[in-house]
Amino acid sequence: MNCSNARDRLERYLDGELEMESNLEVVGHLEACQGCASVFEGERKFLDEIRRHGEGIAAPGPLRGRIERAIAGDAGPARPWPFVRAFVPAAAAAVLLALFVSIFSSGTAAASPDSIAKQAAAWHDRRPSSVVPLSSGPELASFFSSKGRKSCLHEKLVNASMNYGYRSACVENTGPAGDPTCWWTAACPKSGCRMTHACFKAPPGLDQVWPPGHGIRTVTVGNRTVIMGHGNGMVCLFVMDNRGEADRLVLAINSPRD
Amino acid sequence: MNAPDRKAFEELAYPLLDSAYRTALRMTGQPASAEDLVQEAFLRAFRGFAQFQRGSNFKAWLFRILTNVFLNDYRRKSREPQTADFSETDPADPAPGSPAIRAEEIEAIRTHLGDELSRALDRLPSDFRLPFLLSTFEEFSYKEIAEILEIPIGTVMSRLFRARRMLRSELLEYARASGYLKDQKPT
Repeated sequence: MNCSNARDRLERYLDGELEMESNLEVVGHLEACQGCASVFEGERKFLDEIRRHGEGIAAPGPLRGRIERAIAGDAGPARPWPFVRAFVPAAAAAVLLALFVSIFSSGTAAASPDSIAKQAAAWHDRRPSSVVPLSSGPELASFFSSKGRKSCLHEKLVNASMNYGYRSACVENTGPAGDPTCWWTAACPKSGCRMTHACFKAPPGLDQVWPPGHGIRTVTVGNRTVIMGHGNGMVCLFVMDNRGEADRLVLAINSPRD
Repeated sequence: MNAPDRKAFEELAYPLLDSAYRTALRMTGQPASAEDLVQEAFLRAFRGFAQFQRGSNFKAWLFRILTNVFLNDYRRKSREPQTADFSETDPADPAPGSPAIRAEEIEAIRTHLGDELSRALDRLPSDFRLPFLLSTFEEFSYKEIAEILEIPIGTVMSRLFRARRMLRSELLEYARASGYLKDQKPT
């Protein structure tokens, strides 16, 4: 790649819009060319300054009330009583907990990568799509280090996905059968894709059908793609909305830069 | 709409209130108009929530409504022309492939140009301002912006890149005219 090719891709590179291969070509060029690296860095700083200027603008406090009243007027007096409102999330949580227990519990039929992928994809589809900051859930890194569970591909997978702009949507730190485990769903504002990540104790019998330590396995479930790793008694997986996003993540995982 | 749907709508919509207001403020330039615009967009989104495909990108869907309300209701009432004032080949547009922005230029923007940035943004015709706002502040992808604004992805890119060049050029010109930067051509 020459300087002209690289600069033609400047905006798309900074916006995260290049395909992986093209992106890596630009990265390679910037490592070798000080002139282009300087142009790219200047442009990035310029955009950062612009963005910084937009930070901190929040909706005026009363606006939400105004909208709520407008919607209430539109919907009629449908707002449930307070105890009902409290009961509905509690009931939903109970249903979710029951689903958790039924998934991957020791008593289920012999586990296989395909069955795990299918269940994970179904769980992924039930997750909310709204994104909240990671800080509102347990910090993943401290959670895992405190449990001494820096296992399999976990760290590399999380780093790779965060580098791709995925932001945490919801975090669960208790999983099937009460095992310490971690499930979270994230959304990438750039691609509009969602991703669910989980790391949990390998179900009994899995070693027989899927020997640990044999790298990444990719399983397609409908239009979802599940990327899985198995080692140290744990299974780590990522459910991606589509195959393109899954391929991007696998490339990132396999890239020595990550 | 039944209560669970209303709750689902609220859970998806209210976390985006600041974001929607920020964009509306940049669209209209007036806090009061921005509030009206956001309220109208949220109300229409609520009414049309049954058409929202669950699991798809709610933010893009909401911003499409916000943009439509702005373009159809607000811009129409304003004096701003419906189409951009300049064509794809406008000679006033800075050339593509701009040279490196220098460290002192970044510094001048950081320390002196906050207010001017708002004015420069307001001066951008909305055909250019909207892709810029959606990309730079809300981090939508080119594809999402194309869907929100209902324009081809190539048009999104050309308008976005051009908006950035125009903004940069205006800011640096202002900084030189105000004495924040030496009257020196960028290297």
